[in-house]
Amino acid sequence: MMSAVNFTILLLAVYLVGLKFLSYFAHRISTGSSEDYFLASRNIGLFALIGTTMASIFSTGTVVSSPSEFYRQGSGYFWVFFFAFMPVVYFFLATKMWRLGKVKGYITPGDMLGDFYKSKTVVFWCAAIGLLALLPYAVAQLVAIGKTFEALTNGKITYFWGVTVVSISLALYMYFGGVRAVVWTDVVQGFIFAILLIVAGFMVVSWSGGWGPLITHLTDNTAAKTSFVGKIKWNYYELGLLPLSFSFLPYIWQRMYMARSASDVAKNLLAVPIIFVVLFFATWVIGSSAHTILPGGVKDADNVLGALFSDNAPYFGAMLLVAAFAAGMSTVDSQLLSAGSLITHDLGGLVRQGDRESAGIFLFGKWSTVVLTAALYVWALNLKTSSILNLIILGISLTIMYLPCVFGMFYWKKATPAGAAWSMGGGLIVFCIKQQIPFGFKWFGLSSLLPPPLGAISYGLLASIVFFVIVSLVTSNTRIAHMQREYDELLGETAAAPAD
Amino acid sequence: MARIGWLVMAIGFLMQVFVPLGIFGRPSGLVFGVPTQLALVFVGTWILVGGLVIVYFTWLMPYARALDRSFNIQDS
Repeated sequence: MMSAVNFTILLLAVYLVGLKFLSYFAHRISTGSSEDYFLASRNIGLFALIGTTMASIFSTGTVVSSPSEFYRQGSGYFWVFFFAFMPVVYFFLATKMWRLGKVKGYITPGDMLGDFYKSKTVVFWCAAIGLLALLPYAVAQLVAIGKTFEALTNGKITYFWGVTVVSISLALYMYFGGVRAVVWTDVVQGFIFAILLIVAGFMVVSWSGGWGPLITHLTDNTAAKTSFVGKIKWNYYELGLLPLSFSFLPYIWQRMYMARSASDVAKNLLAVPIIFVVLFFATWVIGSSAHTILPGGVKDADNVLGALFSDNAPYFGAMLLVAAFAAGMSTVDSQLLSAGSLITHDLGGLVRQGDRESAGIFLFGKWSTVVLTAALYVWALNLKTSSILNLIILGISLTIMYLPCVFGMFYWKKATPAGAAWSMGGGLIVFCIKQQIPFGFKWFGLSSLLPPPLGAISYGLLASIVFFVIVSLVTSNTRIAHMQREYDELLGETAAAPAD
Repeated sequence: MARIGWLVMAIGFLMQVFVPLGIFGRPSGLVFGVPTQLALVFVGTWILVGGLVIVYFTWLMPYARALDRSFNIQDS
Protein backbone atom coordinates (compact mmCIF):
# COMPACT_ATOMS: atom_id res chain seq x y z
CA MET A 1 0.00 0.00 0.00
CA MET A 2 1.19 3.50 -0.83
CA SER A 3 2.64 5.45 2.11
CA ALA A 4 0.95 8.67 3.23
CA VAL A 5 4.01 10.67 2.13
CA ASN A 6 4.00 9.17 -1.38
CA PHE A 7 0.23 9.71 -1.54
CA THR A 8 0.83 13.38 -0.64
CA ILE A 9 3.49 13.77 -3.33
CA LEU A 10 1.13 12.18 -5.86
CA LEU A 11 -1.67 14.59 -4.86
CA LEU A 12 0.67 17.57 -5.17
CA ALA A 13 1.82 16.41 -8.60
CA VAL A 14 -1.78 15.92 -9.80
CA TYR A 15 -2.68 19.36 -8.47
CA LEU A 16 0.24 21.12 -10.18
CA VAL A 17 -0.40 19.34 -13.49
CA GLY A 18 -4.10 20.24 -13.18
CA LEU A 19 -3.10 23.88 -12.87
CA LYS A 20 -1.27 23.66 -16.17
CA PHE A 21 -4.37 22.33 -17.94
CA LEU A 22 -6.57 25.06 -16.48
CA SER A 23 -4.02 27.68 -17.47
CA TYR A 24 -3.97 26.30 -21.02
CA PHE A 25 -7.75 26.46 -21.41
CA ALA A 26 -7.86 29.95 -19.86
CA HIS A 27 -5.17 31.04 -22.32
CA ARG A 28 -7.21 29.72 -25.25
CA ILE A 29 -10.20 31.93 -24.51
CA SER A 30 -8.27 35.03 -23.45
CA THR A 31 -8.69 38.14 -25.60
CA GLY A 32 -5.16 39.46 -25.23
CA SER A 33 -6.01 42.67 -23.39
CA SER A 34 -5.04 44.04 -19.97
CA GLU A 35 -8.68 44.11 -18.92
CA ASP A 36 -9.03 40.45 -19.75
CA TYR A 37 -5.68 39.47 -18.24
CA PHE A 38 -6.21 41.29 -14.91
CA LEU A 39 -10.04 41.29 -14.63
CA ALA A 40 -11.29 38.42 -16.85
CA SER A 41 -13.21 40.95 -18.97
CA ARG A 42 -15.39 41.87 -15.93
CA ASN A 43 -17.52 38.80 -16.54
CA ILE A 44 -17.16 36.67 -13.41
CA GLY A 45 -20.46 35.11 -12.29
CA LEU A 46 -21.74 34.66 -8.74
CA PHE A 47 -20.49 31.13 -8.08
CA ALA A 48 -16.98 31.95 -9.31
CA LEU A 49 -17.00 35.29 -7.48
CA ILE A 50 -17.77 33.65 -4.13
CA GLY A 51 -15.18 30.93 -4.78
CA THR A 52 -12.41 33.32 -5.73
CA THR A 53 -13.16 35.75 -2.91
CA MET A 54 -13.12 33.00 -0.29
CA ALA A 55 -10.00 31.40 -1.77
CA SER A 56 -8.28 34.78 -1.80
CA ILE A 57 -9.14 35.35 1.86
CA PHE A 58 -8.13 31.89 3.07
CA SER A 59 -4.44 31.23 2.71
CA THR A 60 -2.04 28.55 3.90
CA GLY A 61 -1.16 30.75 6.86
CA THR A 62 -4.81 31.13 7.82
CA VAL A 63 -5.71 27.51 7.36
CA VAL A 64 -2.72 25.89 9.01
CA SER A 65 -2.25 28.50 11.72
CA SER A 66 -5.88 28.99 12.71
CA PRO A 67 -6.40 25.60 14.43
CA SER A 68 -2.93 26.01 15.92
CA GLU A 69 -3.75 29.44 17.34
CA PHE A 70 -7.07 28.21 18.76
CA TYR A 71 -5.15 25.32 20.31
CA ARG A 72 -2.44 27.60 21.74
CA GLN A 73 -4.42 30.72 22.72
CA GLY A 74 -8.04 29.56 22.89
CA SER A 75 -10.17 32.63 23.58
CA GLY A 76 -7.21 34.96 22.96
CA TYR A 77 -7.57 34.24 19.22
CA PHE A 78 -11.26 35.11 19.11
CA TRP A 79 -10.47 38.54 17.64
CA VAL A 80 -10.49 36.69 14.31
CA PHE A 81 -14.32 36.74 14.44
CA PHE A 82 -14.17 40.51 13.95
CA PHE A 83 -13.62 39.54 10.31
CA ALA A 84 -17.37 38.88 10.06
CA PHE A 85 -17.59 42.67 10.10
CA MET A 86 -15.46 42.97 6.95
CA PRO A 87 -18.27 43.08 4.34
CA VAL A 88 -20.01 45.91 6.23
CA VAL A 89 -17.42 48.37 4.89
CA TYR A 90 -18.03 47.10 1.39
CA PHE A 91 -21.82 47.42 1.76
CA PHE A 92 -21.16 51.15 1.34
CA LEU A 93 -18.64 50.84 -1.46
CA ALA A 94 -18.56 47.63 -3.48
CA THR A 95 -21.51 48.12 -5.82
CA LYS A 96 -20.36 51.68 -6.50
CA MET A 97 -16.85 50.42 -7.29
CA TRP A 98 -18.35 47.84 -9.65
CA ARG A 99 -20.45 50.43 -11.47
CA LEU A 100 -17.64 52.93 -11.84
CA GLY A 101 -15.22 50.22 -12.92
CA LYS A 102 -17.64 49.10 -15.61
CA VAL A 103 -18.35 52.59 -16.93
CA LYS A 104 -14.87 54.07 -16.69
CA GLY A 105 -12.72 50.97 -17.27
CA TYR A 106 -10.82 51.07 -13.99
CA ILE A 107 -8.41 48.18 -13.42
CA THR A 108 -6.60 49.14 -10.20
CA PRO A 109 -7.58 51.06 -7.03
CA GLY A 110 -5.21 53.81 -8.20
CA ASP A 111 -7.18 54.12 -11.46
CA MET A 112 -10.30 55.05 -9.52
CA LEU A 113 -8.75 57.27 -6.86
CA GLY A 114 -6.40 58.97 -9.34
CA ASP A 115 -9.21 59.66 -11.78
CA PHE A 116 -11.57 61.02 -9.14
CA TYR A 117 -8.99 63.21 -7.39
CA LYS A 118 -7.30 64.14 -10.71
CA SER A 119 -3.91 63.70 -9.09
CA LYS A 120 -0.83 61.71 -10.08
CA THR A 121 0.43 62.07 -6.50
CA VAL A 122 -2.64 60.18 -5.33
CA VAL A 123 -1.95 57.44 -7.88
CA PHE A 124 1.66 57.21 -6.70
CA TRP A 125 0.77 56.86 -3.01
CA CYS A 126 -2.02 54.46 -3.83
CA ALA A 127 0.34 52.20 -5.78
CA ALA A 128 3.09 52.51 -3.16
CA ILE A 129 0.75 51.45 -0.35
CA GLY A 130 -0.71 48.65 -2.48
CA LEU A 131 2.70 47.23 -3.37
CA LEU A 132 4.05 47.58 0.18
CA ALA A 133 0.98 45.67 1.37
CA LEU A 134 0.97 42.96 -1.28
CA LEU A 135 4.64 42.02 -1.48
CA PRO A 136 5.28 41.07 2.20
CA TYR A 137 1.94 39.29 2.30
CA ALA A 138 2.75 37.37 -0.90
CA VAL A 139 6.25 36.40 0.19
CA ALA A 140 4.80 35.18 3.50
CA GLN A 141 2.56 32.87 1.48
CA LEU A 142 5.53 31.51 -0.47
CA VAL A 143 7.40 30.84 2.78
CA ALA A 144 4.33 29.12 4.27
CA ILE A 145 3.90 27.04 1.11
CA GLY A 146 7.58 26.04 1.14
CA LYS A 147 7.36 24.98 4.78
CA THR A 148 4.12 23.08 4.16
CA PHE A 149 5.70 21.34 1.17
CA GLU A 150 8.63 20.20 3.35
CA ALA A 151 6.35 19.09 6.20
CA LEU A 152 3.92 17.30 3.88
CA THR A 153 6.63 15.18 2.31
CA ASN A 154 8.55 14.53 5.52
CA GLY A 155 11.49 16.46 4.10
CA LYS A 156 11.66 14.40 0.89
CA ILE A 157 11.09 17.66 -0.96
CA THR A 158 13.09 20.38 0.78
CA TYR A 159 12.03 23.97 1.40
CA PHE A 160 14.29 25.11 -1.46
CA TRP A 161 12.74 22.76 -4.00
CA GLY A 162 9.22 23.41 -2.69
CA VAL A 163 9.56 27.16 -3.20
CA THR A 164 11.30 26.64 -6.55
CA VAL A 165 8.65 24.30 -7.99
CA VAL A 166 5.81 26.48 -6.75
CA SER A 167 7.36 29.72 -8.07
CA ILE A 168 7.92 28.26 -11.54
CA SER A 169 4.41 26.83 -11.53
CA LEU A 170 2.93 30.16 -10.46
CA ALA A 171 4.88 32.14 -13.07
CA LEU A 172 3.82 29.81 -15.89
CA TYR A 173 0.13 29.64 -15.19
CA MET A 174 -0.20 33.33 -14.39
CA TYR A 175 1.72 34.31 -17.53
CA PHE A 176 -0.49 32.23 -19.81
CA GLY A 177 -3.80 32.11 -17.99
CA GLY A 178 -4.00 35.49 -16.23
CA VAL A 179 -6.74 36.07 -13.70
CA ARG A 180 -9.14 33.70 -15.47
CA ALA A 181 -6.86 30.76 -14.61
CA VAL A 182 -6.58 32.14 -11.08
CA VAL A 183 -10.36 32.34 -10.67
CA TRP A 184 -10.97 28.86 -12.07
CA THR A 185 -8.42 27.28 -9.74
CA ASP A 186 -9.76 29.36 -6.84
CA VAL A 187 -13.27 28.03 -7.35
CA VAL A 188 -12.22 24.38 -7.46
CA GLN A 189 -9.84 24.51 -4.53
CA GLY A 190 -11.98 26.92 -2.50
CA PHE A 191 -15.00 24.64 -2.46
CA ILE A 192 -13.03 21.42 -2.02
CA PHE A 193 -11.13 22.99 0.84
CA ALA A 194 -14.28 24.27 2.58
CA ILE A 195 -15.91 20.83 2.43
CA LEU A 196 -12.75 19.08 3.70
CA LEU A 197 -12.46 21.49 6.64
CA ILE A 198 -16.07 20.96 7.71
CA VAL A 199 -15.71 17.17 7.39
CA ALA A 200 -12.51 17.42 9.44
CA GLY A 201 -14.49 19.22 12.15
CA PHE A 202 -16.98 16.33 12.35
CA MET A 203 -14.15 13.78 12.37
CA VAL A 204 -12.33 15.31 15.34
CA VAL A 205 -15.60 15.54 17.30
CA SER A 206 -16.10 11.84 16.66
CA TRP A 207 -12.52 11.02 17.75
CA SER A 208 -13.11 13.01 20.93
CA GLY A 209 -16.00 10.72 21.84
CA GLY A 210 -18.66 13.25 20.85
CA TRP A 211 -19.39 16.93 21.46
CA GLY A 212 -20.03 16.51 25.21
CA PRO A 213 -16.71 14.86 26.11
CA LEU A 214 -14.82 17.33 23.87
CA ILE A 215 -16.27 20.36 25.68
CA THR A 216 -16.08 18.74 29.12
CA HIS A 217 -12.38 18.02 28.62
CA LEU A 218 -11.83 21.57 27.38
CA THR A 219 -13.57 23.25 30.33
CA ASP A 220 -12.16 20.87 32.97
CA ASN A 221 -8.53 20.68 31.87
CA THR A 222 -7.90 23.86 29.91
CA ALA A 223 -10.38 26.27 31.47
CA ALA A 224 -8.16 29.28 30.69
CA LYS A 225 -8.74 28.68 26.96
CA THR A 226 -12.49 29.19 27.42
CA SER A 227 -12.33 32.43 29.40
CA PHE A 228 -11.25 35.94 28.47
CA VAL A 229 -9.89 36.76 31.94
CA GLY A 230 -6.36 38.13 31.60
CA LYS A 231 -6.36 37.76 27.80
CA ILE A 232 -7.72 41.10 26.72
CA LYS A 233 -5.32 43.92 26.03
CA TRP A 234 -5.47 46.75 23.51
CA ASN A 235 -3.81 44.51 20.96
CA TYR A 236 -6.91 42.24 20.88
CA TYR A 237 -9.06 45.13 19.65
CA GLU A 238 -6.37 46.65 17.46
CA LEU A 239 -6.24 43.40 15.49
CA GLY A 240 -9.96 44.01 15.02
CA LEU A 241 -8.98 46.87 12.67
CA LEU A 242 -7.51 44.34 10.25
CA PRO A 243 -10.90 43.51 8.69
CA LEU A 244 -11.21 47.19 7.71
CA SER A 245 -7.86 47.28 5.97
CA PHE A 246 -8.22 43.77 4.54
CA SER A 247 -11.17 44.93 2.45
CA PHE A 248 -8.91 47.42 0.69
CA LEU A 249 -6.14 45.04 -0.32
CA PRO A 250 -5.88 45.65 -4.07
CA TYR A 251 -6.69 42.06 -5.08
CA ILE A 252 -9.86 42.08 -2.94
CA TRP A 253 -10.82 45.48 -4.38
CA GLN A 254 -10.27 44.20 -7.93
CA ARG A 255 -12.72 41.35 -7.33
CA MET A 256 -15.44 44.01 -7.16
CA TYR A 257 -14.43 45.18 -10.66
CA MET A 258 -14.50 41.61 -12.02
CA ALA A 259 -18.12 40.79 -11.25
CA ARG A 260 -20.64 40.36 -14.05
CA SER A 261 -23.35 42.30 -12.18
CA ALA A 262 -23.91 44.48 -9.11
CA SER A 263 -26.35 41.86 -7.80
CA ASP A 264 -23.55 39.29 -7.85
CA VAL A 265 -21.34 41.70 -5.91
CA ALA A 266 -24.08 42.11 -3.30
CA LYS A 267 -24.74 38.37 -2.99
CA ASN A 268 -21.03 37.76 -2.63
CA LEU A 269 -20.89 40.27 0.25
CA LEU A 270 -23.65 38.33 2.00
CA ALA A 271 -22.12 34.91 1.41
CA VAL A 272 -18.58 35.74 2.55
CA PRO A 273 -19.24 36.37 6.28
CA ILE A 274 -21.52 33.32 6.57
CA ILE A 275 -18.94 31.00 5.01
CA PHE A 276 -16.21 32.70 7.01
CA VAL A 277 -17.89 32.16 10.39
CA VAL A 278 -18.74 28.52 9.61
CA LEU A 279 -15.18 27.71 8.52
CA PHE A 280 -13.53 29.49 11.43
CA PHE A 281 -15.92 27.76 13.83
CA ALA A 282 -14.66 24.50 12.29
CA THR A 283 -11.04 25.54 12.92
CA TRP A 284 -11.94 26.36 16.54
CA VAL A 285 -13.43 22.87 16.94
CA ILE A 286 -10.34 21.28 15.36
CA GLY A 287 -7.90 23.30 17.49
CA SER A 288 -9.88 22.67 20.70
CA SER A 289 -10.20 18.95 20.02
CA ALA A 290 -6.42 18.57 20.06
CA HIS A 291 -6.52 18.95 23.88
CA THR A 292 -8.73 15.85 24.06
CA ILE A 293 -7.33 13.76 21.23
CA LEU A 294 -3.67 14.48 22.01
CA PRO A 295 -3.62 14.72 25.83
CA GLY A 296 0.18 14.51 25.85
CA GLY A 297 0.40 17.78 23.92
CA VAL A 298 1.53 18.60 20.38
CA LYS A 299 5.23 18.57 19.55
CA ASP A 300 4.91 21.22 16.82
CA ALA A 301 2.13 23.59 17.93
CA ASP A 302 2.38 25.35 14.54
CA ASN A 303 0.96 22.28 12.83
CA VAL A 304 -1.94 20.97 14.90
CA LEU A 305 -3.72 19.80 11.74
CA GLY A 306 -0.80 17.55 10.82
CA ALA A 307 -0.49 16.19 14.37
CA LEU A 308 -4.20 15.36 14.60
CA PHE A 309 -4.50 13.59 11.29
CA SER A 310 -1.09 11.94 10.79
CA ASP A 311 -1.98 9.02 13.10
CA ASN A 312 -5.78 8.92 12.94
CA ALA A 313 -6.49 9.48 9.23
CA PRO A 314 -3.23 10.01 7.32
CA TYR A 315 -4.74 9.98 3.81
CA PHE A 316 -7.48 12.44 4.71
CA GLY A 317 -4.86 14.54 6.52
CA ALA A 318 -2.78 14.55 3.34
CA MET A 319 -5.77 15.78 1.33
CA LEU A 320 -6.50 18.47 3.92
CA LEU A 321 -2.93 19.75 3.96
CA VAL A 322 -2.67 19.69 0.15
CA ALA A 323 -5.89 21.72 0.13
CA ALA A 324 -4.27 24.15 2.60
CA PHE A 325 -1.26 24.32 0.30
CA ALA A 326 -3.60 25.05 -2.61
CA ALA A 327 -5.29 27.77 -0.55
CA GLY A 328 -1.91 29.48 -0.25
CA MET A 329 -1.33 29.20 -3.99
CA SER A 330 -4.72 30.75 -4.65
CA THR A 331 -3.86 33.71 -2.45
CA VAL A 332 -0.35 34.37 -3.70
CA ASP A 333 -1.33 34.18 -7.38
CA SER A 334 -4.06 36.78 -6.86
CA GLN A 335 -1.61 39.01 -5.00
CA LEU A 336 1.07 38.74 -7.67
CA LEU A 337 -1.34 39.50 -10.50
CA SER A 338 -2.64 42.46 -8.57
CA ALA A 339 0.88 43.74 -7.88
CA GLY A 340 1.63 43.35 -11.60
CA SER A 341 -1.39 45.50 -12.43
CA LEU A 342 -0.25 48.21 -9.98
CA ILE A 343 3.16 48.35 -11.63
CA THR A 344 1.77 48.31 -15.17
CA HIS A 345 -1.16 50.67 -14.80
CA ASP A 346 -0.40 52.90 -11.82
CA LEU A 347 3.38 53.34 -11.72
CA GLY A 348 3.70 52.78 -15.48
CA GLY A 349 0.88 55.23 -16.12
CA LEU A 350 2.76 58.00 -14.29
CA VAL A 351 5.46 58.02 -16.96
CA ARG A 352 3.54 56.72 -19.96
CA GLN A 353 1.37 58.48 -22.51
CA GLY A 354 -1.03 56.80 -24.91
CA ASP A 355 -3.28 53.76 -25.10
CA ARG A 356 -3.16 51.59 -21.98
CA GLU A 357 -4.79 48.71 -23.83
CA SER A 358 -2.03 48.47 -26.42
CA ALA A 359 -0.30 45.14 -27.10
CA GLY A 360 2.92 46.50 -25.57
CA ILE A 361 1.25 47.37 -22.27
CA PHE A 362 -0.45 43.99 -22.16
CA LEU A 363 2.89 42.23 -22.64
CA PHE A 364 4.55 44.48 -20.07
CA GLY A 365 1.80 43.52 -17.59
CA LYS A 366 2.38 39.81 -18.15
CA TRP A 367 6.14 40.11 -17.80
CA SER A 368 5.95 42.33 -14.72
CA THR A 369 3.99 39.54 -12.99
CA VAL A 370 6.70 37.03 -13.90
CA VAL A 371 9.52 39.34 -12.76
CA LEU A 372 7.72 39.95 -9.45
CA THR A 373 7.39 36.21 -8.94
CA ALA A 374 11.12 35.81 -9.53
CA ALA A 375 11.91 38.60 -7.04
CA LEU A 376 9.66 37.08 -4.39
CA TYR A 377 11.23 33.68 -5.02
CA VAL A 378 14.68 35.02 -4.18
CA TRP A 379 13.26 36.86 -1.14
CA ALA A 380 11.44 33.74 0.08
CA LEU A 381 14.63 31.65 -0.05
CA ASN A 382 16.15 34.04 2.49
CA LEU A 383 13.16 34.11 4.83
CA LYS A 384 12.74 30.47 5.84
CA THR A 385 13.14 31.17 9.56
CA SER A 386 11.18 34.46 9.66
CA SER A 387 7.79 34.89 11.32
CA ILE A 388 5.28 34.73 8.51
CA LEU A 389 2.48 35.94 10.77
CA ASN A 390 4.25 39.29 11.29
CA LEU A 391 4.68 39.72 7.53
CA ILE A 392 1.02 38.93 6.94
CA ILE A 393 -0.16 41.39 9.60
CA LEU A 394 2.19 44.05 8.22
CA GLY A 395 0.82 43.56 4.72
CA ILE A 396 -2.82 43.63 5.74
CA SER A 397 -2.38 46.65 8.02
CA LEU A 398 -1.06 49.03 5.38
CA THR A 399 -4.17 49.40 3.25
CA ILE A 400 -6.05 51.00 6.17
CA MET A 401 -4.58 54.24 4.74
CA TYR A 402 -6.98 54.01 1.77
CA LEU A 403 -10.02 54.26 4.01
CA PRO A 404 -10.46 58.07 4.41
CA CYS A 405 -9.86 58.79 0.71
CA VAL A 406 -12.28 56.13 -0.46
CA PHE A 407 -15.08 57.18 1.87
CA GLY A 408 -14.29 60.82 1.09
CA MET A 409 -14.69 60.08 -2.61
CA PHE A 410 -18.28 58.87 -2.13
CA TYR A 411 -19.51 60.54 1.02
CA TRP A 412 -17.70 63.85 1.75
CA LYS A 413 -18.10 66.73 -0.65
CA LYS A 414 -15.25 68.71 0.93
CA ALA A 415 -12.65 66.08 0.05
CA THR A 416 -9.80 67.51 -2.02
CA PRO A 417 -6.91 66.07 -4.06
CA ALA A 418 -4.37 67.52 -1.63
CA GLY A 419 -6.26 66.03 1.31
CA ALA A 420 -6.21 62.59 -0.37
CA ALA A 421 -2.50 62.76 -1.18
CA TRP A 422 -1.56 63.93 2.33
CA SER A 423 -3.83 61.34 3.88
CA MET A 424 -2.19 58.39 2.13
CA GLY A 425 1.38 59.74 2.16
CA GLY A 426 1.22 61.07 5.73
CA GLY A 427 -0.54 57.98 7.05
CA LEU A 428 2.04 55.72 5.42
CA ILE A 429 4.97 57.70 6.84
CA VAL A 430 3.50 57.67 10.36
CA PHE A 431 2.91 53.92 9.99
CA CYS A 432 6.54 53.41 8.94
CA ILE A 433 7.82 55.54 11.84
CA LYS A 434 5.88 53.49 14.38
CA GLN A 435 6.77 50.18 12.75
CA GLN A 436 10.40 51.30 12.26
CA ILE A 437 10.31 50.50 8.54
CA PRO A 438 12.59 49.96 6.72
CA PHE A 439 15.01 47.61 8.48
CA GLY A 440 14.38 48.86 12.03
CA PHE A 441 15.16 52.49 11.08
CA LYS A 442 14.44 54.69 14.12
CA TRP A 443 13.46 57.80 12.14
CA PHE A 444 15.75 60.00 14.29
CA GLY A 445 13.87 59.11 17.47
CA LEU A 446 10.46 60.10 16.10
CA SER A 447 9.05 56.68 16.94
CA SER A 448 9.29 57.55 20.65
CA LEU A 449 6.61 60.22 20.00
CA LEU A 450 4.16 57.40 19.22
CA PRO A 451 3.92 55.49 22.50
CA PRO A 452 2.05 52.22 23.18
CA PRO A 453 -0.54 50.84 23.60
CA LEU A 454 -1.53 52.01 20.11
CA GLY A 455 0.30 50.18 17.35
CA ALA A 456 1.26 51.13 13.81
CA ILE A 457 -2.16 50.39 12.30
CA SER A 458 -3.95 52.66 14.82
CA TYR A 459 -1.46 55.52 14.43
CA GLY A 460 -1.49 55.12 10.64
CA LEU A 461 -5.29 55.29 10.52
CA LEU A 462 -5.48 58.25 12.90
CA ALA A 463 -2.84 60.19 10.96
CA SER A 464 -4.56 59.36 7.71
CA ILE A 465 -7.92 60.68 8.94
CA VAL A 466 -6.41 63.82 10.52
CA PHE A 467 -4.39 64.69 7.40
CA PHE A 468 -7.38 64.04 5.16
CA VAL A 469 -9.79 66.23 7.11
CA ILE A 470 -7.46 69.13 7.91
CA VAL A 471 -5.77 69.39 4.51
CA SER A 472 -9.13 69.04 2.73
CA LEU A 473 -10.60 71.86 4.81
CA VAL A 474 -7.78 74.27 3.96
CA THR A 475 -7.41 73.43 0.25
CA SER A 476 -9.68 73.80 -2.75
CA ASN A 477 -11.72 71.05 -4.39
CA THR A 478 -12.82 72.98 -7.47
CA ARG A 479 -10.58 70.74 -9.60
CA ILE A 480 -12.74 67.72 -8.79
CA ALA A 481 -16.18 69.36 -8.61
CA HIS A 482 -17.10 67.96 -12.03
CA MET A 483 -16.03 64.47 -10.89
CA GLN A 484 -18.30 64.67 -7.86
CA ARG A 485 -21.19 65.60 -10.14
CA GLU A 486 -20.33 62.81 -12.57
CA TYR A 487 -20.13 60.21 -9.79
CA ASP A 488 -23.45 61.39 -8.36
CA GLU A 489 -25.07 60.98 -11.76
CA LEU A 490 -23.56 57.56 -12.34
CA LEU A 491 -24.43 56.22 -8.91
CA GLY A 492 -27.84 57.83 -8.40
CA GLU A 493 -29.14 59.62 -5.35
CA THR A 494 -29.12 56.47 -3.24
CA ALA A 495 -25.35 56.64 -3.26
CA ALA A 496 -25.35 59.41 -0.72
CA ALA A 497 -27.91 57.95 1.67
CA PRO A 498 -27.20 54.28 2.25
CA ALA A 499 -29.16 53.91 5.48
CA ASP A 500 -32.41 55.40 4.20
CA MET B 1 -36.33 48.39 7.96
CA ALA B 2 -32.69 48.87 6.93
CA ARG B 3 -32.21 50.93 10.08
CA ILE B 4 -33.28 47.91 12.14
CA GLY B 5 -30.67 45.88 10.30
CA TRP B 6 -27.95 48.40 11.14
CA LEU B 7 -29.12 48.35 14.77
CA VAL B 8 -29.00 44.54 14.92
CA MET B 9 -25.54 44.65 13.37
CA ALA B 10 -24.39 47.17 15.98
CA ILE B 11 -25.73 44.99 18.81
CA GLY B 12 -23.80 41.99 17.47
CA PHE B 13 -20.63 44.03 17.09
CA LEU B 14 -20.94 45.47 20.60
CA MET B 15 -21.33 41.94 21.98
CA GLN B 16 -18.10 40.97 20.21
CA VAL B 17 -16.40 43.94 21.86
CA PHE B 18 -17.94 43.87 25.35
CA VAL B 19 -18.09 40.14 26.14
CA PRO B 20 -14.27 39.74 26.25
CA LEU B 21 -14.05 42.85 28.47
CA GLY B 22 -16.35 41.19 30.99
CA ILE B 23 -19.03 43.92 30.78
CA PHE B 24 -21.66 41.18 31.12
CA GLY B 25 -19.70 39.44 33.90
CA ARG B 26 -17.70 36.25 33.57
CA PRO B 27 -20.42 33.59 33.39
CA SER B 28 -19.46 29.93 33.55
CA GLY B 29 -21.36 26.89 32.31
CA LEU B 30 -22.48 26.18 28.77
CA VAL B 31 -24.72 27.93 26.25
CA PHE B 32 -25.71 25.90 23.15
CA GLY B 33 -23.15 23.32 24.33
CA VAL B 34 -20.29 25.84 24.17
CA PRO B 35 -18.51 27.48 27.15
CA THR B 36 -20.61 30.58 27.92
CA GLN B 37 -18.08 33.38 27.32
CA LEU B 38 -17.09 31.93 23.95
CA ALA B 39 -20.71 31.18 23.09
CA LEU B 40 -21.65 34.83 23.68
CA VAL B 41 -18.99 35.92 21.17
CA PHE B 42 -20.34 33.40 18.66
CA VAL B 43 -23.88 34.66 19.33
CA GLY B 44 -22.71 38.25 18.84
CA THR B 45 -21.06 37.26 15.57
CA TRP B 46 -24.25 35.58 14.30
CA ILE B 47 -26.36 38.56 15.40
CA LEU B 48 -24.02 40.75 13.36
CA VAL B 49 -24.46 38.44 10.38
CA GLY B 50 -28.25 38.57 10.96
CA GLY B 51 -28.08 42.37 10.73
CA LEU B 52 -26.10 42.02 7.51
CA VAL B 53 -28.86 39.82 6.08
CA ILE B 54 -31.57 42.38 6.95
CA VAL B 55 -29.60 45.27 5.43
CA TYR B 56 -28.85 43.15 2.39
CA PHE B 57 -32.52 42.47 1.65
CA THR B 58 -33.83 45.91 2.52
CA TRP B 59 -31.17 48.19 1.08
CA LEU B 60 -28.17 46.67 -0.67
CA MET B 61 -29.97 44.29 -3.03
CA PRO B 62 -32.55 46.83 -4.26
CA TYR B 63 -29.73 49.31 -4.88
CA ALA B 64 -27.64 46.68 -6.71
CA ARG B 65 -30.64 45.70 -8.88
CA ALA B 66 -31.19 49.35 -9.77
CA LEU B 67 -27.57 49.59 -10.89
CA ASP B 68 -27.95 46.41 -12.94
CA ARG B 69 -31.10 47.70 -14.61
CA SER B 70 -29.15 50.73 -15.77
CA PHE B 71 -26.91 48.29 -17.68
CA ASN B 72 -29.81 46.07 -18.79
CA ILE B 73 -28.29 43.20 -16.81
CA GLN B 74 -30.70 40.46 -15.72
CA ASP B 75 -30.38 39.18 -12.13
CA SER B 76 -28.63 35.77 -12.09
